[in-house]
Amino acid sequence: MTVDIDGIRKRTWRYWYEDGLSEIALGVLYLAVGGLFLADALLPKGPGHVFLSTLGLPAVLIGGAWLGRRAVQAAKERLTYPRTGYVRYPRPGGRRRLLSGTVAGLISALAVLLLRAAPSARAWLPGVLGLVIAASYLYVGQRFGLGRFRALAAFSAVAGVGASLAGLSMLEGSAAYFALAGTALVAGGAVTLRRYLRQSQLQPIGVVDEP
Amino acid sequence: MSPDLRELGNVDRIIHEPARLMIVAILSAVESADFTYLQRETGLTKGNLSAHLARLEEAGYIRIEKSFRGKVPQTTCSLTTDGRRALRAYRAYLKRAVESFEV
Repeated sequence: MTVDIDGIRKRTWRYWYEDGLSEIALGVLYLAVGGLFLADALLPKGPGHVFLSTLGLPAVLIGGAWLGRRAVQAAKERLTYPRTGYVRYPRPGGRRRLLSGTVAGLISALAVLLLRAAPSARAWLPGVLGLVIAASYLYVGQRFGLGRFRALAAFSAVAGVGASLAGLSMLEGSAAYFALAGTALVAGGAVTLRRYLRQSQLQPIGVVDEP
Repeated sequence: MSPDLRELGNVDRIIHEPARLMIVAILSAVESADFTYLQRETGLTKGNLSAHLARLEEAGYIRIEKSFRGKVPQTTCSLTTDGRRALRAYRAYLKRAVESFEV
């Protein structure tokens, strides 16, 4: 009997993604962001529009992330843990949070500088977003050994670049990108969830976990 | 007997056993995991898993907590600091053993 310690650890981390619930939640968040960009592009200028373009995105991102985390946890309690067991993951340490925050901050600052220096580059925002998000999918796929994240990365890059080349405005292109990327995530997550539910059985009520 | 060979006999036998090594490796990646998850991942029978968990708890490598999740009883296991230290030492031991081995 051989024991692949690193493989076991990787599989344990991968368990979080096994039911596709986190992808569905992220997809819904992307669809909300896409809807916000579309509303921003279509609504006539006015007080409501100012609110949308200044506070709308942070509100959707922060509120959506908060709601999404709770929704995924509640769904896992109901669907995943009774079938294949409960796992509690450690919270990311301060160093990792600082690194993620720094990378996100640098990318945002670069994007703002680029848009100010060359307003004509605005149409390329969806393409840049698509490539950055594709890179993050590739990182997750590689770290946890998730093949389907490579397909999501390819789709994100193609959708982003495609939205930039389609001749849309920055807001319309971003709306199109998030709508496509969100739909892909929800669809992929739903397929994964369906497969998971078919392959795993609910423990009969009254069965004691340990003899 | 050479010192290298003598060191081979000093392996931590609690963690060296493959089923227990699997359990410790799983728990080293998480904060805690329940009995159902451990059984699914290790492929052990309930009785066998229970015996290995008791051995690890006895050695002070894991902590076992029994509670209820709703109306369902739940046994949750987590690695202790000693358990984490033992896994690190075991990995270092294996590395040394492989490096000193020549055919």
